[in-house]
Amino acid sequence: MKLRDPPGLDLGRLNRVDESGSPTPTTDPLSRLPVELFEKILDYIPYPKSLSTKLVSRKWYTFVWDYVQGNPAAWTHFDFTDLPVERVTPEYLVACIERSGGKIKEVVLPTAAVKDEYASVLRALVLCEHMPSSQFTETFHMDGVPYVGSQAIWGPDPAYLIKKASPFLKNLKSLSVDDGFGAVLQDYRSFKPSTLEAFSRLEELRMSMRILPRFFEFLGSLPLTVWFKNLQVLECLLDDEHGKISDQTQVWPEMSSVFFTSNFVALPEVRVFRLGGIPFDREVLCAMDQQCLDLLIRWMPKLEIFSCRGIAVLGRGSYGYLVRQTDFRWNRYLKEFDFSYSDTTRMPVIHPSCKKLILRESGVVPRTLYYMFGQPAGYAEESNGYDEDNVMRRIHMPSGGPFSTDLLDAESNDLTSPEYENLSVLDLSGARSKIDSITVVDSLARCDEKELKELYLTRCRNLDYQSLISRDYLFSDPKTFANLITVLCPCLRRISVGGNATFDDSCLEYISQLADLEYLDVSYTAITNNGIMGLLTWRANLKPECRRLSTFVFDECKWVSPEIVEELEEAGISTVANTEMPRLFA
Amino acid sequence: MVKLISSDGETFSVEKDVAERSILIKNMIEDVGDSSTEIPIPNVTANVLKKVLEWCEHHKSDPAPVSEDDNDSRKKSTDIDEWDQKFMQVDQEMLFEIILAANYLDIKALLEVGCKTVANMIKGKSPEEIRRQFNIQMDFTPEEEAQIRRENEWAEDR
Repeated sequence: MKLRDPPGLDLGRLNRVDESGSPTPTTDPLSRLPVELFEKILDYIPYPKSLSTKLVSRKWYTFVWDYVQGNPAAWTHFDFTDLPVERVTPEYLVACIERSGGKIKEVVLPTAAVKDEYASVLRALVLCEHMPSSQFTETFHMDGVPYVGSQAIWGPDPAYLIKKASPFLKNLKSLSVDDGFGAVLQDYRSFKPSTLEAFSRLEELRMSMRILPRFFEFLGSLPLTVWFKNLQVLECLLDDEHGKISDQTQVWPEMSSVFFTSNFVALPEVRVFRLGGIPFDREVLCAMDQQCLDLLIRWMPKLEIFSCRGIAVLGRGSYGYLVRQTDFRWNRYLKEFDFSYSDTTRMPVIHPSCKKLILRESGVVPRTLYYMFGQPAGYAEESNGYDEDNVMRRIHMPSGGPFSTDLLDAESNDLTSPEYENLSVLDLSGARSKIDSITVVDSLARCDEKELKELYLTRCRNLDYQSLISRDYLFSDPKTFANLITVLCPCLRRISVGGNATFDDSCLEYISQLADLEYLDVSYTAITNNGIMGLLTWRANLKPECRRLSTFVFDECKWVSPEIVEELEEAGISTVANTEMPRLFA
Repeated sequence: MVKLISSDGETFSVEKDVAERSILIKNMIEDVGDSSTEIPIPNVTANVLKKVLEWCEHHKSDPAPVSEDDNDSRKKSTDIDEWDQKFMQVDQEMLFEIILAANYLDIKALLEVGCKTVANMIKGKSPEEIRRQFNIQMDFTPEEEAQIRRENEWAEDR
């Protein structure tokens, strides 16, 4: 496509005026160098930055204008990274692309560095529409921002663009979309097969939590279809204004009974499912409908990593979800369960395949058993007085398939369920008030002592032995809580007991006897120089190959003097600063 | 050794492979068939030729440039290696002379370095800064300037 003459400027006149020359001595490269050499220089200045040089002088104006008009090479690379993002509108992109006459090879868009006021997915799609598919950049990473606009702000109609652009989405594997995508999704009924084809090729999809309800609706739209059959990673993240999500504006779709009566699996290949993120304000959690979550995880039979941070998973009472817990037992490949900074009514059940249980600052604690006469007598939470059976009768659950009542009920009363037996990492750091000695000990009792390698109890303040006395335990003569830990998890490699004021030198003595211990964090505790010297003496008497402890963290221990660092370093133990602590204590 | 004579009559003796960084000189030597003859370089003065030969000396063992398939593989990176950057720290007068000489002598790599250096002087600068950089007279009327600005709006850096 040929460029039009610049509006309102008479190029001929400019050229004539230029002939008069300038009186001052100049090193203007345009005067000093032959035209073809100056063109070479301009070749190094990516479009559209090169355009701003038009403003230098009349001579430059004429030259640059001719250059961009006559030199197709100048139109193959677009670099918009330095432009204010609001200038890179869909219309602008279309204009640039049209000028290039379809020669574009590479486009660099402004990304997360700036706050994107536009529906970036639309920009992506406009690009797709105009670019030869073989040269299409495969990944778009455009961080989402709140959806603020109407179509009037965007210009082109999103549905129109997505339809036009879809044939060029062939190579798109990874897509990060902002909230504008929610509006696009609402129009899913007019998607063409090619768009859906592009969806089916996606392997990674990132979006704002805000549009998860719409996405969910799309997944479950009738007739039931697997739209994302290759999707492996699904991330629904909190955006900057996540606080707003926590209000009641989030409309979750009504559940169709179809979901419950078929074996439909919407996301067969998803391995990683992340929700939320570390919230900026712990008091304000983003709401997530529990029933939708339950369905989503059922739709992910290959789920390996589940992460839910800063989310309040809320039930809808009429379904009996007030007491029903989310159940991951159908997720047989589950490796990691992270429910940090999140809250829900009851701790979800996880599949025994799980290796990592992370409940940092979580509102729930591991499902523990309560004991009578030294024997497990039931799940601790079941003593809360809920009549689960009664509630269950009110939920329609067909037999067979992922929603089989057999599956749901078969193990729920089985007190020998190996739910936590494969855990190698247990993180209960910064847990809210619910974590006490009893919960920790009961949780550890459900783990396999040989499997558990890492235990994080940072800021669990109520860990002491006294509160355990009332319980009927079979442990032999534990003198302190720390000793209990060494008995319950003798194979620990990493442990953190930071922020626990009752942890003192005698506790350190026990902990340091853990034979495999490599990492020990006792920040914000009551240990003293004496305790550490004791640890060093004890360690010095070990055979060298048994001195495994290599990292010792003791920030903000007021009875430890800084000189002790030298002693530790001499013994070959590094004393890294604990970077995590301030975050937890914020 | 090859003897080169600058436009102002100065003679430079350089190794053959240094001189042959210049395709022009290389072709001349091949044409003459005798590397001992003196080669006049009528378009390049002694001070510029000295500078150019300094560059050739440093880069004499560079691998021959791979045949370029011009526009397609054009990488618009303006990265310049450290030695070349230092080499190019000369006044603008000399910089342009070097570029012109490199162009005349057909030393592609040096020409590229020169163009990149100038490009870096232009890149990321406002029109006003570019004018100051090269001492260019601003010759737009305010109306014209405003007009171009509007037309350019989205391309402006700031």
